[in-house]
Amino acid sequence: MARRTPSLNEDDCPPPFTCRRGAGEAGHPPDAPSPHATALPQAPESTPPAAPRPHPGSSPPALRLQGVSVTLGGVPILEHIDAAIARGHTTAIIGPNGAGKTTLLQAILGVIPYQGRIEFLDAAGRPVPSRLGYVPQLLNIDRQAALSVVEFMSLDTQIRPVWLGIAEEVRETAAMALDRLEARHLLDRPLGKLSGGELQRVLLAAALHRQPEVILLDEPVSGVDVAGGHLFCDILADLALDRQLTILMVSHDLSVVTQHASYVLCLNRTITCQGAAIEVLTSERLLDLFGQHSGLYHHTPHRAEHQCDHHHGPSHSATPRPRAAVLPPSKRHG
Amino acid sequence: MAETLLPPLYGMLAWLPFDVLRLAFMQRAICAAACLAVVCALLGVLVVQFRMAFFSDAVSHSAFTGIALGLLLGINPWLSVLAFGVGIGMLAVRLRRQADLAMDTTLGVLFSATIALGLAIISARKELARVLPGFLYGDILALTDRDLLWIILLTVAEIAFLLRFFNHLLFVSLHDHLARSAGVPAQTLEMAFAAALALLIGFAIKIVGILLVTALLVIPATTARNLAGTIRGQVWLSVGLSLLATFAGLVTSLHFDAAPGAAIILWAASLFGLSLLLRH
Repeated sequence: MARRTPSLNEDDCPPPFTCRRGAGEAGHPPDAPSPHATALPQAPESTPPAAPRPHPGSSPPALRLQGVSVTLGGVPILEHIDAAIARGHTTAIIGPNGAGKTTLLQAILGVIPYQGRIEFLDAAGRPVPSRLGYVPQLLNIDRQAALSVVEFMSLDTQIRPVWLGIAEEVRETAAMALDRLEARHLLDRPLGKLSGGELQRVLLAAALHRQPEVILLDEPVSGVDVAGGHLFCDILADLALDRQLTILMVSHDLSVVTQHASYVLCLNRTITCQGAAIEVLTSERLLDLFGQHSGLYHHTPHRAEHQCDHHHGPSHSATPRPRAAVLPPSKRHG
Repeated sequence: MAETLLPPLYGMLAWLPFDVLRLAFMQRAICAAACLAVVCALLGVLVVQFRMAFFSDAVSHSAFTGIALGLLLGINPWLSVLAFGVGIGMLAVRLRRQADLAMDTTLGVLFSATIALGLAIISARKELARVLPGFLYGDILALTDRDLLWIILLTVAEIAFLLRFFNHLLFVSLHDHLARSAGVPAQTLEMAFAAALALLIGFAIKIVGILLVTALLVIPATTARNLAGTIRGQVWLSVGLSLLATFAGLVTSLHFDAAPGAAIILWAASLFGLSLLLRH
């Protein structure tokens, strides 16, 4: 299987910062053709990995929040949130419990009332209808539930009730969406019996199904076993590179944030800091945001390895473990 | 309409090798029970998934108030039961969504109050007590052709509703926000489902009575869930088990001269017990 780095390259880092994870750390050899060119629908403007991309500040954000406030039951949950979410990058919303992270996600999803403006923008900076993919943490389902993965993935893609059968093309589309996340084997499994990691991959596949431009992740890899966490992290990084997806994640797990987010929004009812992850995630800021408990989460390479070790040691190893690659099916079995 | 639609149906039943099916009241009972068994089995799958067993119990018990209101206002109590059940069911869903309360808390308050009101009126007006047994135990053996026609109409409408909205309803039950982010009008659909369910409950009271309606909705669907690994399997098993319990219950009740509704639910519960042994 073709293997490529899921880590961010130099050009993914917003100048003037440089990445903690250098380009080519585990990349394909320079002479190997970049899988980008075939995997990307936006192939025409895809550039070789080494070429610098435009300054993210110079292209309009994918999502802009202006003066967003949310009051629920008379209690102010969010106050005057102003933020711009960089296009084609991963932004993490971090903050202590009760900071309003989930509420902000719900406001962006448009499922709760809010004041202020939330706008999705196209590459030219014009407001466009949202094309969101949402990956919730869990579904309201128990282990006994009789619902297979393919049935779940057909719920919003076919009108005919799933108990009258699933159209062949609907099934095939679902299978291909799962295939991209190395989860095709889950197609006919009961949804309630999947592990946390498997469920996350199915939910991500279902979200990608709708060709979103912005993906919202609610606490990814929480409750996911280590191996599942590895795979999910790999896949996310691949997607960010391949599809120019804008990823916005809510996470309380700073090891995930430090590994995957280029930008960070610190939230505690209002935005307390925002900017490039490497700049924002300093011990002083974290102490400010989380209080004394931040010590529990504080990022060290060891903690990070626990979730996504490929950015550090194992990526240099001579025998790479299997990992996700976002490739068209034709590339898989060659 | 009853004269053109129903005789062929009865004719078909009379061909079956059971003497009891030549009795007109039994033919009507079988047709009505079969229709409602199928719809209850289908909606029951969603009731179980939405965890709305308490909701359906509450709507069926609100029939007490429906009866009382109907008799006070001088209209057919069946009509007032249906209208009151649908209204209160939709109100419950709306309240829960607006006030962000848990469904059981909302219902606990709302329905206890309405049931208390109904019981207060019924107990104060002694003449109302004589209509109660029909609602408590169901009166499937006393159906008229007109009743049966309404039940067939309801069956067609409910199945049409499910053919169009089953997938979206299931999606909403799995994750409200996820469904809404995919463009599914979750609140409207949930209200429509509450109305469809309340309407079905109003009719199903005719078969098994106020006290056992929830059982008819929940038991076959749960039994099927124990045995199936897909929604497709669960739905068809639920329909099959519901029909089996209904026919077996009707026949047994004639044999022992017991209430048909009770016999149907006893059969359904026995099948549930069996499914626990065979659980996948």
